[in-house]
This record gives sequence, structure tokens and C-alpha cells, in this order.
Amino acid sequence: MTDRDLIKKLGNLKEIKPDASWLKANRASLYTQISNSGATQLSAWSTFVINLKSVLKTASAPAVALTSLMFVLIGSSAYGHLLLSNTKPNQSLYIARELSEKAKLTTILNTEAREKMASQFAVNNAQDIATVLSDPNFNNTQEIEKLNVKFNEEINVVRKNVAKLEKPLTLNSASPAATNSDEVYSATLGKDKNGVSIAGTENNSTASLNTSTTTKILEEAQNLFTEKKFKEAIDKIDLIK
Amino acid sequence: MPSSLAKKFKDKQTLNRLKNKDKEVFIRVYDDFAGDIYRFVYFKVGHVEEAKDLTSMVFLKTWNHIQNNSLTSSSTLRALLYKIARTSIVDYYRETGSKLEVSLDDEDNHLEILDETHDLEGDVDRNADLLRIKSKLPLLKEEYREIIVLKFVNDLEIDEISEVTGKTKGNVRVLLHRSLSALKDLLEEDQK
Repeated sequence: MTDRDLIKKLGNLKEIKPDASWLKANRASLYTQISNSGATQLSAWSTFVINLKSVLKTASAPAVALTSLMFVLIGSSAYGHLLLSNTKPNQSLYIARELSEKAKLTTILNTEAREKMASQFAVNNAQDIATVLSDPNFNNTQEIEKLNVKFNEEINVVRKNVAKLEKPLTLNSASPAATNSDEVYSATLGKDKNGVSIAGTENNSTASLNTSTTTKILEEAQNLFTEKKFKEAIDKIDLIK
Repeated sequence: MPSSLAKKFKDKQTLNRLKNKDKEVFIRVYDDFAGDIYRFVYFKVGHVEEAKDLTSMVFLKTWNHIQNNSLTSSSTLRALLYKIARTSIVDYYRETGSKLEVSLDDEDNHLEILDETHDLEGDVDRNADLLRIKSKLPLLKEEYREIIVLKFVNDLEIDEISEVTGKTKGNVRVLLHRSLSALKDLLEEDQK
């Protein structure tokens, strides 16, 4: 006899049960006994409150609590930087912003996309540092020193990532490099009777910058920053955003 | 996961309603568990009348326990009922001064055939098996018999058995394995 056979046969012992008449009589007897000890019939409101409490107690079970915590952690690491994007480098919440940015970067698996995003974060951070230092009321020398170092670090991050990326960063519409309109000669599209068409492109905001131009802009921004021309440095950094 | 959550919710809801002296819910609990508790007690004491008295006592004690305690000691209502059943049996024998012995040989406990549409031959075979197993169960060690009834007859989870018996889950698994082997040996000896 296998264990499975034995277990199946043991299951048949469920057929041992008290006789129905005793069950019924005992049920009535118990009902009377508990009614005498103050048992009641609950109102609809009490039942609702009990159900609500039961739901809350079930939800506080470790597995449910852990799942909720995981959702919060994943959500905050993925989208937390959006909430913290307005914090400035001299504020206490800035650390949370930095952590959130790092967490966001770790969620991106594609190397190129990660480097682009890291550059974007570094550009924003450098601009925020320049904005803080441009405030004449900000005179904490220790903090100023730290922010100077941090600015250069951020610029170096952008420079390093731009060099790695094959595709160049896009240029903002305010860029002087993009102010000249270009002409594109197409042999296949919109030809006129003479077989040649000229399509004049608009001075659009997505004209791309190559690596050397970006590096040059970064250097200029760094120089302006060193000369304490913060507003100009901010404008310069804006070109590569 | 969703079904276990629903089960947990139902259990918490029932316990909370019992705590608020809801007699309708108590009677529903009786309807759901009276058969199982009776069977558990019966395999412990071996006599129908004593099993009936003790089953009745278990439900009343459970009602009083729920009214007077915080209910944090038991994870499920079912585990609580079995725990109370165990202590009630011990108390009963302590009070009456009787020795806890098992015979399971009551002639008045006839097996009921629940479904009359079953073929007669199959039922005869099944009854023979039941009687054989029933006659061998009292020969097992008390803890082996208890764990077999809890797991394979009354379908308790390992967690619940662990709570009812006060043993670790690992110990429960080992005991289940040993008790099945012991029962199998007894049945095979009988066949020889």
C-alpha cells in the first residue's frame, strides 16, 4: 500500500460523524445557552464597522504590507525625481533628489539611454548650482566652496557622457548655433517641373549639436561660472539642455 | 494569494463578530465545525457519548474564550477550536479521574453511508477499509493518531497543526511521516 492509497483511505474516515438528531438538539441547546449569556443579533451598522475593521486587519498582514511597501519604493524611485525636481542644492531635500536620480538611473537598462539621462540630470544640477550662487544673499562660504566643486563635477559628467554618446545632444531653440537657416536639396521629394526642388528648413529646435560644439559650450559655461557670471553660465548651459 | 486573503478576511470577520456576541455567526461556526470537532474528540476518547458531551463543551468554552480574551493567541478560528478541544479533553479526564484510554470499538457508532447512489460493492469495500483503519488507529501512539486525524481526516494545514499541537512545522512534518509509516506497518502486519 502506498502513502497515497493510505491517505485516500484515511480521508474516508470523514464519514464518521455524530448523528443528525444530536447535532440539531445540541445546536438548539447551545443557541439557548449563548442567548442567556448576552448574545445578540448585530445591527447593520455594527456589521459594517466589523467588516471594515476586518479588512484593515487583513491588509496589515505582513505579505500585504510588504507588497504595498514594494509598490511605494518602486514608485518613489521611478517617479520621485519629478516631485523633488524643484529642490535646490542648498536645501536639505536635495539629497533626496540626488538619491532619487540615482535610483531612476538604475531602473534604466539601456546604457545609451542611461548616459543621456545622467547627462540631463547633471546639466540640470549644474544650472541649479549656478542659480543658487547667483543669489546675492547667499553668502555661506563653506557651502559656496562645496557648490563650486560640485558644479565642476557635474560639468565633467556631462562632458564624459557626451563623448561616449555617438548621437549628439539636441539644441534648444535659443541656441545661437541654430539661428542660421539651412537649405536642404532633395533629389527625390517634391520635385518641380525641372526635376529639382529646394526645401528650405525652418530654424527648428531639434537641430543637433555635435560633440565638439557641446564640449565647447561646456567649457564656456565653466569659464563664465569661474568668473562668477552665473546668469550667463545658466544661459550657456541652457543651450545644451 | 487572493483566496488565502479572502480566507483570512473571513476568519477575522467571524472572530470580530463573535467578539461582539453575534449569536447567528456562532451558530454558523457550529454548523461548519461541529462534525470535525466531534471526529477529533472521538478519535481521542474513543466513545461516542463522551465525544458528544465534550464537543458540546468545546463550543461553549470557545464562546466564553472569545468573549473574555483578546484573540491574538490564535491565527485562525479553526486552530482555536482544536486547541480548546485538546485542553477540554485533558480537563475532562482530570476532573472525572478517569484514565485517558482509547478503544474506538463502540458498537453503537455505525458508519453512515452519505451518498446512497454509490454502488454497493464499492461501499462494502470502503467500509471494510474504514473498519480496518479504525481498528488499527487506537494501536498507534497518541501523538501519531492525533496528527493523522488532524491532517488526513480533518484536513488542517501544517501551520494550524503546529499551532494546535505546539510543535514546530518541521516537527509536524516529521511526525506526519512517522505516523503514516507506523499505520502502514500495522495494516501490512494485519494483512499477513
